[in-house]
Amino acid sequence: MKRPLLLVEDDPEIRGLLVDLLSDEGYPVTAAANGREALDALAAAPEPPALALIDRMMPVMDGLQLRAQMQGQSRFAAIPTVLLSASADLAGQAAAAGFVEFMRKPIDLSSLLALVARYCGA
Amino acid sequence: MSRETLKKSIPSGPRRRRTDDVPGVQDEEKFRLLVGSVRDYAIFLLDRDGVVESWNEGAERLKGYSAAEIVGKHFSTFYTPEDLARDHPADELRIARAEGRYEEEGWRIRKDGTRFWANVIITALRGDGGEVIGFAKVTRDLTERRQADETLRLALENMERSVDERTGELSAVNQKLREAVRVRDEFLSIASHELRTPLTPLKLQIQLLAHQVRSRALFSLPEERIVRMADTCERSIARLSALVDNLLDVSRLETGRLRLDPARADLAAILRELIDRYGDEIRVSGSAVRVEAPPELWGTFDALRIEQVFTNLLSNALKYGQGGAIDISLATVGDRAVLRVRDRGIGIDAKDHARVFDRFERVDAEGSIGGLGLGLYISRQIVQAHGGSIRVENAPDRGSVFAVALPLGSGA
Repeated sequence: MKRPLLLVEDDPEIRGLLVDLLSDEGYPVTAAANGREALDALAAAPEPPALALIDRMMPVMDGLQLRAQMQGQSRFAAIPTVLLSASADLAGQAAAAGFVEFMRKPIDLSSLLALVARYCGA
Repeated sequence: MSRETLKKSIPSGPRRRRTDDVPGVQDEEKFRLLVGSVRDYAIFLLDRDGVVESWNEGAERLKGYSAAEIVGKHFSTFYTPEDLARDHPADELRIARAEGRYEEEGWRIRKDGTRFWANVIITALRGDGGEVIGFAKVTRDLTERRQADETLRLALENMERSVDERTGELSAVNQKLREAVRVRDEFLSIASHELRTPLTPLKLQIQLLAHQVRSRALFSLPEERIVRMADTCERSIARLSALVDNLLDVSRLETGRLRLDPARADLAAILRELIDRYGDEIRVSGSAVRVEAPPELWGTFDALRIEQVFTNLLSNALKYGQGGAIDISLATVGDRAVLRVRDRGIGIDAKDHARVFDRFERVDAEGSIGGLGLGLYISRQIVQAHGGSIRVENAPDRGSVFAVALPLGSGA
């Protein structure tokens, strides 16, 4: 049984594509376009996702702000989060903010699938 | 003072045989000739009170008086009114009397009233009993040397000043260069970020395609899904192309190679087509776009470039408008076409109103909204190349209003 994941990405192109391909792989995916929407989705979810893929640069609430918000709420603090960004050298910042991993765009499909399999089952 | 005392007072120096042998020429006379014929120094005697007793050729040349005019006059005649006021001549004699010698450089006055810069040495002359019986005064004209010194000093001052100025200019230039390098570095990092973003779906899509071909799953996908994959690739490529075009535009603008291709064009039609083309983006943004425009608005423009300006203003309004209504109006005002785009988004601080049209500037420096920061810069260059203007102001309640005014041109 594959476990659910949350995708937070403002770019509709990337969001749509990731939803498509992760769904094809059999993962239940919830998508949000910014941090605020993600918090709403988390609050509404019957069970917390096994993994959250979070873009850094987003309007309304960016990825780092979202992680900080999650950190402050016991229900969400333990959810493993992965930071996605096209910027270089964010690994340190991501680790400091509590992300389990940093994935630089353009994302590599097999790395992504391996990562998702690790947290949400193969 | 008698000749006898004079002879005693001034040391005669080593005797030289040859002149001594000239018959009829006595030491005293030779000495008088020597002093008398020196041209470069004024050498003369003063009595105990400072009255001129003798005069030589040098003195006449320096000070302009003949011996007949000056012998018997007080040496204070040569001093400036300032020196006279402070009783300086008497001080000089007092010091020479007490210490045997007085030397200074200072201004003296010629017969014709002009000043010269003098080196003055006053030596006290003593009689057999040690009492001061008069003074020998040797004066040199150092005016030229002083002028040369002064010229040199001024030149040095000027040089120092200009070195200071140049240093200041250089450090300002250096500061500007540093700033330019910083802006460029920042731009490169933003450009890299912006180029990588559309690469993400492209790369994923192509890898997915390969993956599905390998697993023989591709042709079991619904046709509509395959079309969507191709569309994703196409849109990503379009985004990349647009970014690259922007970068090229900037490079053209920097090197003055932006060429307009003006022709009769209908701005109202350009605007209508743009709104149609942006249908999807407008829907996604959640903003209602209201357009107020005449059916036609003809003028002479580079239609493609003006469309680029309109596109930029619309896409900014969608990007920064936070889903609020966007009002676009197009109208003829006098001999100009005026386009106004009003959003109800985050707005721009008044202090940043000029800066947003600069290269690489983004309203949202924190970077939660992506973008190269080139759109408004390019837009302004295009508008200005048309002889028009572009500006931004704050909307009455919230958001920004961008206004473009374009001369209708000869084709109006």
